[in-house]
Amino acid sequence: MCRAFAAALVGVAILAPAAYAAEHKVLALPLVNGALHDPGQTVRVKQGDEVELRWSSDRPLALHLHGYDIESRVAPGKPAVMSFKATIPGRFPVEVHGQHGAAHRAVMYLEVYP
Amino acid sequence: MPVILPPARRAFHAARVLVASALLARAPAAMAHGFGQRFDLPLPLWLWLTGAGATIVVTFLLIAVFVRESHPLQRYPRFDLLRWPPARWVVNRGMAAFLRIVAALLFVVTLLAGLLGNPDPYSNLITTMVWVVWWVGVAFFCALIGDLWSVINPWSTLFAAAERAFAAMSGRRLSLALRYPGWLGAWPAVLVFLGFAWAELIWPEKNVPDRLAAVLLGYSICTWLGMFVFGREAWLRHAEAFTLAFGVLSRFAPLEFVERADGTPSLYLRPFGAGLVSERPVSWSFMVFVILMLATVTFDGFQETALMQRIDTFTQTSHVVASALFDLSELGLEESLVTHTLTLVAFVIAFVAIFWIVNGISLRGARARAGEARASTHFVACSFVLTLVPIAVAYHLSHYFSLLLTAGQFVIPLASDPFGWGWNLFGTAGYKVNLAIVSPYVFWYSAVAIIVLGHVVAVFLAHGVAVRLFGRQALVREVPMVVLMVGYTCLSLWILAQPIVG
Repeated sequence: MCRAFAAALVGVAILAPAAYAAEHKVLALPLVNGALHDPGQTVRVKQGDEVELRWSSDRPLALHLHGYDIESRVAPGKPAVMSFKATIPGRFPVEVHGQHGAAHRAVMYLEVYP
Repeated sequence: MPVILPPARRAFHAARVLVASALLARAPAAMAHGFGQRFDLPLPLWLWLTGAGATIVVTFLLIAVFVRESHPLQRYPRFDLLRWPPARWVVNRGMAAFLRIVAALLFVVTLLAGLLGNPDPYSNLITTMVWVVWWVGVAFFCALIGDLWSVINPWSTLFAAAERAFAAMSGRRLSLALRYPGWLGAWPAVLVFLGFAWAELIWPEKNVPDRLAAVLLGYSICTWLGMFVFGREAWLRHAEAFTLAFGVLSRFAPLEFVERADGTPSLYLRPFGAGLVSERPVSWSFMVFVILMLATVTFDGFQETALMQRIDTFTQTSHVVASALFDLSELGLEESLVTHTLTLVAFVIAFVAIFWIVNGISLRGARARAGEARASTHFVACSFVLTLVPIAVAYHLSHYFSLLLTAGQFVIPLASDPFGWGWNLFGTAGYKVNLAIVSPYVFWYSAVAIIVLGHVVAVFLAHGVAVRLFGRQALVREVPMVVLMVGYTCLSLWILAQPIVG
């Protein structure tokens, strides 16, 4: 364990990013039949980026970005925007939360790299 | 799909009905292991390749070193910590009794919270307590420090209290004290652990507090009945799944507690993994139990990979499979539930079969030799099985330590409000979980380092066993086992390099 953590610390020291200019990332995400064109699409951003996920849908849905814990309702003609600063690194699903206890289904993954 | 399989028959019926009723009603399906979600980024490709490469290189280096040194583990160094006074202040009977009472109280509070508390899994103590603190936390403690579970096991504590009360009232022993039948071996534990793994990884209601509490209560009743029929000690030693599971993990740990016949205790400090080298081979049922642990730990990660998702998609698109699954879904079994359950069982069978075949290969051509009359595949497999444990421990640590540090934080608000009724006992109810506590760099590098270290320990132990079994032929004979270990380690790394889906 000790050695593992030492290795990890050395790794962090070497690879910790130098100054990184945060970007503003805007993505248009049209849902058709409750899914994106590429099911399981992964959006990659850098930690510190300003992210805007712009959802549109041909049917009413409740979307939930896990980890950042942002919920949005989207409906035909009523697009929804999830706007946030990507402060937490990791891989986070955006799930459709159905009614009546239907299975939670991931429509997209957000990967925030350090 | 029984979560708890009672080892004896009629007496357990009530508990079975309880468990069955808990399983029948269905709720939202969310396929993910245990409780809480992991948000770990997959290992970068170069890192997983480096890890796999390092695994192969260190394996060769170890073997090269062993060519000269033949008996590395016949006698391992150990040091009795209790000779040192400060250790005696911390480790003593009073402390053990204190921990036991705390654990038994926590058990009761957890069970009551599950039965009576808030139905939201994040507001109820039971989900965090069972899936994070107990299953991940206690497992970590047992693997890295020592067998805490055998000290604090609340089923044992509560039954022992009942024993004392009964003896005080009637003067008799609270047990039928039947002899534990040899043929039963560790099989009750195998069945319970398989059911437990299913509940942890597949059961859609594992996060529903009152269902979880019902199963916990059902298993408690089974355990107490087992203790009543065969005696507390015997049931714990042979059949209680979690005593065996935490016992396997703590064989890896550096602390070993021994109480001599005259009652003098010793707390030995020993090298990691030394406890996995046993003088005698384990029983056949115990071997299956250990392989079952390895298989379910791997399945846990595998289930979140895109490959598992493809298996799901395949079963839904293949006409024959889909129609068979549809028939089952008429019976109330959801398709993905059936697919995942079958994959879990297939994993376990494949692990046992592969392990058996590898042991068969290492024995090929050996039977005719003098002095190896005892060496059957059975004998060799039951001798080698524990040497695989370090890889599973390492994978388990890598897979779960970020979860323990993130989902484990739920304990802070829950301590103030265990039932989810809006209490604020310690003023911590408003605590918000910090998900950014583990940097991906720490996760990546420590995961790979831990897995490669686990592999080194495993190869080292396997060599020790090979020397004991095969003497001068050890190096040749352990090659199949070492190849298996390299494969198992690379599989573990590969899973960590897969993006989590599902």
